[in-house]
Amino acid sequence: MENLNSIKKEILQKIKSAESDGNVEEIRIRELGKKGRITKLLSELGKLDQEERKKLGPKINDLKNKVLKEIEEKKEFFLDQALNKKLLEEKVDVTLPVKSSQNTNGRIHPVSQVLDEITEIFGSLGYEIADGPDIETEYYNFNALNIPESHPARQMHDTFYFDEFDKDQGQSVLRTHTSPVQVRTMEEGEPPFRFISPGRTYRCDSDQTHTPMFHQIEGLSVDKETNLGHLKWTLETFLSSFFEIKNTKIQMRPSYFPFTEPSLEIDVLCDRSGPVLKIGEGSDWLEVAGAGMVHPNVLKSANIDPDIYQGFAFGFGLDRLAQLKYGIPDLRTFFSGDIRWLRHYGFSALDIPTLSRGLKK
Amino acid sequence: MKFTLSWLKEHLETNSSLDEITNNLTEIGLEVEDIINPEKDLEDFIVGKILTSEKHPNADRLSVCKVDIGNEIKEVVCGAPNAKEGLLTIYAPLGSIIPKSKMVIQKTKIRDIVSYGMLCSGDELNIDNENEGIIEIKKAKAGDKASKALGDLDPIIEIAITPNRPDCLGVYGIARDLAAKGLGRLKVTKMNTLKSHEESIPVYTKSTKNNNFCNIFAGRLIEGIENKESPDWLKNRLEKIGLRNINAVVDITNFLTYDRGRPLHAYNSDLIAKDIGARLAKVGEKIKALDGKEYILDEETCVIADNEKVLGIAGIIGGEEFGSEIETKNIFLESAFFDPIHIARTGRKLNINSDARYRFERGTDPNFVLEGLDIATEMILDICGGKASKTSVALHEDFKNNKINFDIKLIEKISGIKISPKDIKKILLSLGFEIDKNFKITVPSWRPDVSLPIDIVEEVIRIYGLNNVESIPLKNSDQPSKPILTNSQKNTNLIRRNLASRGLIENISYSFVSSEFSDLSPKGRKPIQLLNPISEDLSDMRTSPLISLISNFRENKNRGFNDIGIYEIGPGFSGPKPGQQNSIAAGLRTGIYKSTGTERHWQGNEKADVFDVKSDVFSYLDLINISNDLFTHAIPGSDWYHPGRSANIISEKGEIMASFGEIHPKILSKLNIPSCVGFEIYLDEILKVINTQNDNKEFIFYNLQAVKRDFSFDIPINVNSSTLIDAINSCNIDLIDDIKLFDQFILENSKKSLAVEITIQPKKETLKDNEIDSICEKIIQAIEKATSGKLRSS
Repeated sequence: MENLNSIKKEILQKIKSAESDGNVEEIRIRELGKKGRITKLLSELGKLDQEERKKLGPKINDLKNKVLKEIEEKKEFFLDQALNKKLLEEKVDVTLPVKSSQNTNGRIHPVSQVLDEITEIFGSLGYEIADGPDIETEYYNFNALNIPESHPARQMHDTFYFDEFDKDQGQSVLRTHTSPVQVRTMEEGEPPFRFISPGRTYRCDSDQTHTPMFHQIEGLSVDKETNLGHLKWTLETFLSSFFEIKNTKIQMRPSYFPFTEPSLEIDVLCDRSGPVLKIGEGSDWLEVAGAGMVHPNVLKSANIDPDIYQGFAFGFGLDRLAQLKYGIPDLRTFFSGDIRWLRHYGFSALDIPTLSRGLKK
Repeated sequence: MKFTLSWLKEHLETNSSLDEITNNLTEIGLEVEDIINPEKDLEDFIVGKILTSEKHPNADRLSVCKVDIGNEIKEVVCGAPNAKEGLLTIYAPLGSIIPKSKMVIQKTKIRDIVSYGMLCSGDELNIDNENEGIIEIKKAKAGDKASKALGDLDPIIEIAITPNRPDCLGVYGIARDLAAKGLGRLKVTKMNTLKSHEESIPVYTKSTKNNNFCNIFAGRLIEGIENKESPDWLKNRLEKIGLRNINAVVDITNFLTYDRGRPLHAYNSDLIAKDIGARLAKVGEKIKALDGKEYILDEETCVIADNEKVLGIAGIIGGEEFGSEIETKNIFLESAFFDPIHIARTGRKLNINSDARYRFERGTDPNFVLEGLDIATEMILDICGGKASKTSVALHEDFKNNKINFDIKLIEKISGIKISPKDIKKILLSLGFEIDKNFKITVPSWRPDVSLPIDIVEEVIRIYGLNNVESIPLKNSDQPSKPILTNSQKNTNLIRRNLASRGLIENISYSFVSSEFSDLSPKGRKPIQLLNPISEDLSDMRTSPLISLISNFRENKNRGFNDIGIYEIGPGFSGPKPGQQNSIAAGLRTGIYKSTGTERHWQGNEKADVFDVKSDVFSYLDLINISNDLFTHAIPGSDWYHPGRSANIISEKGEIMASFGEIHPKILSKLNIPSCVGFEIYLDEILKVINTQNDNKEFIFYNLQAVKRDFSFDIPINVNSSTLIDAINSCNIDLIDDIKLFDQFILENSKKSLAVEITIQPKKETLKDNEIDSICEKIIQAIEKATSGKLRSS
């Protein structure tokens, strides 16, 4: 008995003071190997009588298990020690910068972003998107829109011309507005119509607020019952959604466009008192759109009977909407391709505007 | 159109304030652009007396003045030559706002001397056009309010007149509109018809039935006048609206132009040979006009002429020699109605802008020709004396007013507002319309813009007030049951966000570029030119947005940005007709702006190469499921790419769907830019091959493990890898699930080694070794045959 206890003590002491995995292995072989001390004790058990065996058997087994456990633990300790040493050697400087992510490097131009926002709003109101060519004929750009040749409004348009003439359609021009799309789209379909047409437009004019190319977005709704009240509601609804303001107030003023009658200009409530222009508050008015009821002559140009159908049209400056919403001061910078400007005012590819998410970034 | 408040009140009897008047002008469609109200603008300004004025020690043209402003003395630096001791002038204190420039006066150091305020010129104060020196005041004392000292502080109103409203190009017409709005009563001027027995010069108009360029030509002689400077009231009135005073006769014709929208012209009648009237010019006839320029006329131009010579270009500008000078004694005063279309065409052709043209081309009142002549005659007789003859008149045909059968229901149908018949009548009558009991409306002669029932609707609601329109929700009758966007629009959106997610920055550039850039276009893509470009830099329509990107790159490079990745989706133009344009997505990567990393980085950086732009193109083709077997590479790509490092992607129908490559070194050297890579995706072509049907495909599980085999081949260096891939595909083995080309290296003797991994997916049962071997054998044979290569023995 004392013998077993002192053996145990001795072995545990040895394991404890082992200095390497090899030391531990030596102890294991010495005590638990084929010829080991404990193995021997176990094999000698058979020679004892039953009484002795019953008494000593569990004790020797306990000793064996205890030693085995201690050895394994000690071995694990040395393995961990070795691994930790290796891992420390594998250390890298994780504070080093990573490559910038491509979807944050890229940018969507503010005009494209704003167009996506507008598409969301008008899409939810049942408007489709109609496209048309940048190069137009005088017929579609003017005549079909109730602007005959000598109309003073033609001069207001500062038109770009091409050396190309068609005897029915007149000279080729760069479209001065997106309104030709109205006629082209109506010619190809059947009323009722509800669509917006965004796009590049061109006028021979250049200063801080005018660039020879800019973007317009035009809307048209033609049906049997569509009046100025519907127009007002549509514009209020659009402006409220676009600027994310409850109950945007607008003011309609009489104006003149050859292709609408009556013609109106649309102002939205704004506050100019602070350093930043605020839409939807204050007591000032800011002109944001032209609009009106489609002129019967325009409907006739598109083979639609103006006695049955009537409708409204409206037009916004797309660039200007972007300027107002995102506080971009100078129109000219939109088209200069300056990488610094684009990085600053552009949007990430993943900023996809939806009505449920909200239209702002 | 500018006018003063007192001028308006000559025609409008009203108690309304300036604010009420201007607010209502905008409400009825005469948009107020500017109000100069000196009383308000000059509130902070005071009379100052210059006590001393000494030359500025550091500036020759400046003086330093001590100015008495009543209760204190201020030191002010002034640049005016008339800033002399003892002068009474207007002092702008710190914090005041200069009316003209809207500049806020602040304490400023001017060449080391601090100026406490400013002394002002009449021009700066919007009082007159004098800007040579500071304003000089007489009866006042230092410290008086400027508004009191300046006396005449008639507010000036400027409104924008839309082209449909020629009647409001005269103050009288504006007064009529305001009266209709309920802002007062329109004063009716009573005219005594001038009686005279003197004969005038005979007049004529050569209008014909088909070409009625001058429907009425009238005039009279006024002889023995004493032309002089205009009286103060007239001078003031014209000066306030920015017109130069010339002499009484000319000023009176100008006055009628602005007062009644009635242009007139006064000729020196001593220079008229015989007869005067309107005819078409003969080709090559010349006239030196009042603007000092000589114009050569053609047979479409209407001129005023006697039986010998041209005296003026009708309705646009008079001849220099034949006008009324201060010493002119005898004049012929002309009043006529010229056809708007005719005047517009001539004015545009000759590029002359004048007050007369502006009114004639918008439409003058044909029934006011004679009355306008009478009013002006009376004024001339009044101011210059003389004797007037009878009026001689040549009339082509009687003027007929527009008549409109009107159904008052149209007003509610269009505007959504109910207006009582009584109110409708009242509005129309006050605007000068006549209405019979059946609501047949006679349009007044001064409203050429009103010809349709819808025009009547506009008249009524603009006066009734657009603020009465209530919002009515638009019924969403056809809630979208299909997508709002067309396939083309959807694809454009997709590629836009795809390219941005690949690190590229979207540009939107002008559709026109300079010829320097457009000349780089590939052969067969001739750039079209604008007839009237806004500048030489913007003269040609681009054939591709890629040109804009190259140009933008050069600009950015000049600002120090060498590594950029940009793209643009927009039109490229192929001809000057509608529809001759393609929707193109183009991109450009420069320097180290790679698809895998865009900046200098400690893990290394390389130059963007053709495979970066190829991956831009292919990432999109993958997105829209255009698989490899739907296109082929055609090498090289378009002319503006490096012939050895570019390709076109060709659809099965043989159309170019995309191109990519290194930009041609010749272009780089011409534009002096470093090497870069670009691509173009032709969206219209892509749209033709895209599968728009969204069949739901079932996912099929294969439980059997796939087998992978690697092969490498030594093939001639000129054989493209695509030949090898095509060869595998041509075996038509449907068990082949995937092919990956994973290695290439160049060998000696013009050979290269390509390695592919082929994945074979057993579908029904595990493949036996000999089955796999037979597939491999088939592939090897096909490749060796197609590439003249050899399987590399491992």
